[in-house]
Amino acid sequence: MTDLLKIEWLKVKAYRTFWILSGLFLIGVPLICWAYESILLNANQMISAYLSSFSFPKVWETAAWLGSWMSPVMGILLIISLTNENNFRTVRQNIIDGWSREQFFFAKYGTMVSAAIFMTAVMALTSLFFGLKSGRGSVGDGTEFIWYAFVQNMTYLSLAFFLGIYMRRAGIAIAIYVMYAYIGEMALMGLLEFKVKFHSSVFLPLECTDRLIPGDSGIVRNLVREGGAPPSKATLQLIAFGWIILFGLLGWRKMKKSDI
Amino acid sequence: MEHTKILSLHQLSKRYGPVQALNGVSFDVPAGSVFGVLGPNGSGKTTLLAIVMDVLKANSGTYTWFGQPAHHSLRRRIGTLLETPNFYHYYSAVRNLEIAAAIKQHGHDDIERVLKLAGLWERKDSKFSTFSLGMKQRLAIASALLGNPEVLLLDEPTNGLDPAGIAEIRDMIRELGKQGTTVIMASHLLDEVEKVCTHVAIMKKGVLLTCGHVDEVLSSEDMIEVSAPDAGKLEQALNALPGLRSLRRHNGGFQIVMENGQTADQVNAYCFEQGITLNYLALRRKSLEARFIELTN
Repeated sequence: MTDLLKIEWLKVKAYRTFWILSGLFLIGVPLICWAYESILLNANQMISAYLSSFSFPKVWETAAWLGSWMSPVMGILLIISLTNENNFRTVRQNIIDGWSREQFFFAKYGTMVSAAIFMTAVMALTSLFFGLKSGRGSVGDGTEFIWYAFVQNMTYLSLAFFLGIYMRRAGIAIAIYVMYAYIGEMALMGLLEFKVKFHSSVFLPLECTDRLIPGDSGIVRNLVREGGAPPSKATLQLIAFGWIILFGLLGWRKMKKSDI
Repeated sequence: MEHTKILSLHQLSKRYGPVQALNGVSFDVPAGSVFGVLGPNGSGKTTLLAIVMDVLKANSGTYTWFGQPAHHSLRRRIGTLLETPNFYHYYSAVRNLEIAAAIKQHGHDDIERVLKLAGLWERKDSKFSTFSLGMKQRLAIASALLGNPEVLLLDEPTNGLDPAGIAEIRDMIRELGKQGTTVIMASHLLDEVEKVCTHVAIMKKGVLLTCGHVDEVLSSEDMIEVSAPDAGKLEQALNALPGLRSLRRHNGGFQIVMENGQTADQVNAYCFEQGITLNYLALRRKSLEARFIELTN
């Protein structure tokens, strides 16, 4: 696996788009946290104190929640890296040169997991910075949100992975991904919640982890709740892993069976 | 060579929806041969090569490389150019070859040699996207040559090259063949193939028409070229010639192939009996082109 990742690294280490999008995420997460912190501090000291969004343990959740708004950036990078392989037909060349189809799949899946680890690390370091800056609470509390953040990053990237494997054109895949991540799922969630059954939207691929890390949006969610206990964190993780596995298996099937 | 058959195909078939691209194709590629796979456009040459490199999946049939069932590690022993040069557009020639070398599990020390061989050393740091079609093709050939593979599999290797480039590639293939490298080459440039190949397989619409050593494929097909002042009368007489297998117009005269190996003097005598005086008579080994046209039409 290390050898596969080394070759994947060769493919991107001098690729400008890779550095721009990774840099955008790296800067974007703390920046969005900083912006939110500024809004809270300037809006109302009482609300700010009530929310304690940037104090331990809540800051782990806050950074993961706000960071998820930047997650599609890394999803777009993954889509570009996958569709490049199709458009340049380098997927063919990699196989011709001696990789098995399984090795190609694992190289890409490994890249995706590495990206999820990078995203989680950025979110964790951002939490640490803002939490220590606030000087309130204990660092060790609430660290389960680092794991939740990883699960969330994996679901966002798995959806991108699926689209990148199945769609040849980067533009269309990115458009579908961004539309779904920012608007599509929200619309679906509204329909499922209010027209079908309350809490039924937890079965959507991104909503399950959005609920795992509700952040301050949890207050709004609680206000509109019409009764019924929300699913447990364990259930939400199970649903998330269901999607991660499903997207992975569909990608595997495509790589294993189809002409390339 | 450890095996007498480098590549063996057994009943390979491939279908794209209603189109039967390959239909039960079987043949062997002997070690050390320069093996030409010929056929008109759409005959299934590229499909065939793509299947044995595992980028397309056959609907049925099997193949072996080096006498072993297909495995990805065996492909590292084969230098391949399939259909189009496939490289990362945003990378230079050197960076692209570094990736290819890493996948083939070779070091980077051979990159300079192959780039010089392909005449690209001066442009080694230029982005692939800035290359002309010919340069892209040269880079693909350089990549195929990385690590001195035992087998070269080249699909239309002279695509996009200028006449000097075509001659260079032809000489290179011939030289590699002499050194014992097995070369499998798909092409529709028959003249090129005839100059370098020791063996040929001729395909049409996914079906293998003939296969074997070039001399075997062509030997039974000695051809007699004739012409006479009255071409019309000659054609009429030749059409009535007993044992005539084929007749076609060629440079104002006719090329004929006989069923039972009648000799040129028998044809001359026959024409004379018919009151026709030939002004040209020659016995030729049939060109690959003539054989190809005969088989594929």
